[in-house]
Amino acid sequence: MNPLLEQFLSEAREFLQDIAEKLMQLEGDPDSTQMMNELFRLVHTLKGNSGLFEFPEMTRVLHAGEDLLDAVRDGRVNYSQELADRLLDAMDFVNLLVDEVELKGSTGAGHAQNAVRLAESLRQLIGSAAVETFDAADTLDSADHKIPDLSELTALPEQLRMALYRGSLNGAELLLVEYCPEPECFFKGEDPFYQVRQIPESVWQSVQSLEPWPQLSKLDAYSCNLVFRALTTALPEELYELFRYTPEQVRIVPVPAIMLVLPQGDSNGGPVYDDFITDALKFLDADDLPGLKASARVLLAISAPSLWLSSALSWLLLVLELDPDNRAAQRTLIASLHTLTAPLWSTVITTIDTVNEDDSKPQLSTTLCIDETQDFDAILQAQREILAQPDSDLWLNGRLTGVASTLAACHRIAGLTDGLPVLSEALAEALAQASASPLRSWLEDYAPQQAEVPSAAMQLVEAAEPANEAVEEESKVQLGRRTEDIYTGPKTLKVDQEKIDLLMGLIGEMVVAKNSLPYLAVKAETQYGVRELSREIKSQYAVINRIAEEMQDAIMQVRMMPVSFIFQRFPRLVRDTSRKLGKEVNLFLEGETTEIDKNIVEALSDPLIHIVRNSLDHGIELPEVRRAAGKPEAGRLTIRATQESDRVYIDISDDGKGIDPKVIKDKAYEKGLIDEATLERLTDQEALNLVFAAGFSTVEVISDLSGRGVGMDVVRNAVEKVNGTVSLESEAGKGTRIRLSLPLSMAVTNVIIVESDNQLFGIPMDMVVETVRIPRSAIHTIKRRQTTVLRNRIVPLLALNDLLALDAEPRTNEDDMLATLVVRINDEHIGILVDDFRETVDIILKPMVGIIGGLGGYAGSALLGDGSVLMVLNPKELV
Amino acid sequence: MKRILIIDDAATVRLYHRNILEAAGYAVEEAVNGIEALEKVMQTPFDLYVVDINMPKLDGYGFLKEMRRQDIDQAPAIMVSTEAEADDRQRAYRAGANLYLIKPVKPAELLIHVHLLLGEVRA
Repeated sequence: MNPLLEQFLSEAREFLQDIAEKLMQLEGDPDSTQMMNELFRLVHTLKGNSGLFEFPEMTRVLHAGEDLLDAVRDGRVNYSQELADRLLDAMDFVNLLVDEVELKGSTGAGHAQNAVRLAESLRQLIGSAAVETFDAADTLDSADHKIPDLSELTALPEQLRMALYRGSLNGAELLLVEYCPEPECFFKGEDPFYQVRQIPESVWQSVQSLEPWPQLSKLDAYSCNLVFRALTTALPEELYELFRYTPEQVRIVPVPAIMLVLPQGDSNGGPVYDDFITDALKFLDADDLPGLKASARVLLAISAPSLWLSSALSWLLLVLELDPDNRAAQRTLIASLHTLTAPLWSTVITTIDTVNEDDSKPQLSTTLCIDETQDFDAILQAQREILAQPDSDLWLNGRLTGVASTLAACHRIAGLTDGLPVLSEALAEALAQASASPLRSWLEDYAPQQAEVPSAAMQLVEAAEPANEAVEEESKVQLGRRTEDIYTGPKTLKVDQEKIDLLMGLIGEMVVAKNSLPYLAVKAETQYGVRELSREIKSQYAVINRIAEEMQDAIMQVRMMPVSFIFQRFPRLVRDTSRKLGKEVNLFLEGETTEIDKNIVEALSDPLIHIVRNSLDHGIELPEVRRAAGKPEAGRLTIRATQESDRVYIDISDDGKGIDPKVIKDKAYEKGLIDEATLERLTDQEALNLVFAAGFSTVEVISDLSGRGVGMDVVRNAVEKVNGTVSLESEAGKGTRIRLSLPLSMAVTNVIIVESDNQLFGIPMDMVVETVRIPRSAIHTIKRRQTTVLRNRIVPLLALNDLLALDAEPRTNEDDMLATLVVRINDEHIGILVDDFRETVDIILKPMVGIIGGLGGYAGSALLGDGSVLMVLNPKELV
Repeated sequence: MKRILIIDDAATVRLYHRNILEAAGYAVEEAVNGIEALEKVMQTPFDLYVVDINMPKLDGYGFLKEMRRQDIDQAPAIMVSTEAEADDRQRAYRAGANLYLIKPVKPAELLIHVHLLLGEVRA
């Protein structure tokens, strides 16, 4: 993706987030002018940004939003709930477009209608004052139903119309495009003529004046007074795409085939055969089409081809051939033969015959041609206007000097050097008088009305330089102090996420690589017998080790993000959801500055949303229920983040109706999740934990909000994926609290190395409960499973060799004891028999990628200090 | 090489102008608001300024007035804005802008104006 677009997208997201936030804050404090100004600035800037790209839909909506906010700022419109709602909707739409751009690189044409609708809904709020620009859009709907005025179709050659008629009856639908550019379109960089010529599959085009042309003296050549019409067989989508910037100025209507049937020619000559008409109608009544055809052919043969009569007869024959069942049309044609009068055609002013010429002809005036001469004049004009400003400003001298240097520069480039020496004098005079008039008269003397662009005969002339350096020096000091007072923004740097990840990976490798030094020290001593060297390596290792660890910490810090990153969407979520449910909820966010690893933050966002939705949907009661229960009508939802040593806790608590353990137990039993014995035995807390069981949902009917086929088990899985845990406490009638406990960072994993069949494997320490050695005699076989009793608890035993399909028996030590690693999997303890334990190490776990990515049972791999690769097991998948 | 300072709070617009101007061989620097711009100008003045109007802390008018008033630099300044209203144009001129262009400025248009204001022959 091009960097500019990338920049735009990331900035747009920030802006949208800020806009939403500001809107929420304004709801609490609608009179804050500062906040309103800030909001306006955000929308305004975002609109400006979008204008750099071809996202007309986005710009349209943002423009409307900007105008609306401007009106609010000026006090023309009052801030209201509805206004906030509409703006939020509009911003959602923009967000959607941003997403689409990110995905596809552009926005599809399908959004035009929505954009018009949203922009309109925003503009409605501004009221009558600003609607006039959208009158065209307002009338769009009603105009759509009108049958287009196609009288001018006679301008099409009859042959072509007949061919089109034939094609149209064969299913090639003909569309009429009526394009009415707004009067000031020329100032918006639009080129209506070019635009019309871009209409695909165009068979005919015309241009007319919208209003009658005024007298030449009153004509405003810069105001567009044209209406374009074109016939095309293109698909409507193509046309909407073409006119996506100005959808409200275009009307696209299908043209019924019969509208093409327009006889033309000289109506004044030729015989009138009343007999023929009587006969023809008789033939029609008798359904004798062959007879009618024969009769028509005879008459056609004896009529001069230029006659209107001949034309009408030809059409009649064609209709008889192609659309034999259309009696009404045939009758109408015959009737018009009788009157020999065509309908009244309105005057056709100009017709552009562009049949099949669109592609071959070179396109005229593709973009606005920028002429240097023109710009030169524009600059001169600007300077004239600048010099016309009041002379009273304190910075007048600066302004005058600026004008002089501008004039000098552009005159020099234009080769107009005569006035330059005098210019410095004029400036000096102007500065002395504190008046713009000397420069004004210089302009009158030397600025040509029509710049002839000369072949640049360059001549260096001293440009007027800022005059006195002493003053400049002084002002620097003065200003320096002032700016320090105002400017205290933090200096932050935006870094691409990939770069951080790369750095992280490299640091990880270094941490591991430095681990090879102790091996080297041992080798130096044992293999080469150099004890001193060994000692020195060890002392150097201590230094490198410290630096590497600090570096790792520092990089971790970079990856840390405040949880506000996910918290910030909750105000909107809670507001919208509670409103939809008819509940009143106050949201309290605490500890937003608590930082946590970026990956964890990202993994948390969906589970948190789910939990919050659950609370709103099932936890907090309706206001009347709350009142009856003696609680305040507005529910309270608190999301709090806290850090304790190397864990971060996120608590989501509400003061809703809580969870009744009995209901949970009954439901779980009904669903077959627990048996009768368990039902009796379960404590209340254990019952509550059942909500995390897969396939459990306390609500029968899936509601629109929380029940999206996702239960709390998904929340738990997501949290466990980042080595977190989730717990739930609830008191019926009082409320519920869900606590997520998360590691600060997931970059470093502590694993224990075990040996099995002469190979080393790692197992994450946070799953390990204990390591024990069990005498072979303590192993019992219950239900064909090996088990043992540990601390009054039956622990099933599984040999790692079996789990990994290694063809070897578990080995015992001298005392015939088996090394057993007890791990916790879903609250169940399982013993894994290994050959021996080794040390625990901190490793950087690299997930499995590529071909081995799909391999189950492994959490990933890691590099050990001696350069070997350690495969880290995931017992959960293995067992 | 001529030096140009782009002053705009929108990173996208800055990048857009930077791309255009750098491609034409100018040395471009950026500032995100009027205050930052003034700090930069005080270190070394530039040959040309491309100034946005609506910015936090100190807006484009404020920046130009301050720069002109304190006689920090009087090099040409182009004010770019999305506002098409004429009274803004007058305000810009009064504050000390030398040209007023409406965003988005087409690359060719911007370059021609920059060439003219800097008094250079077009490459």
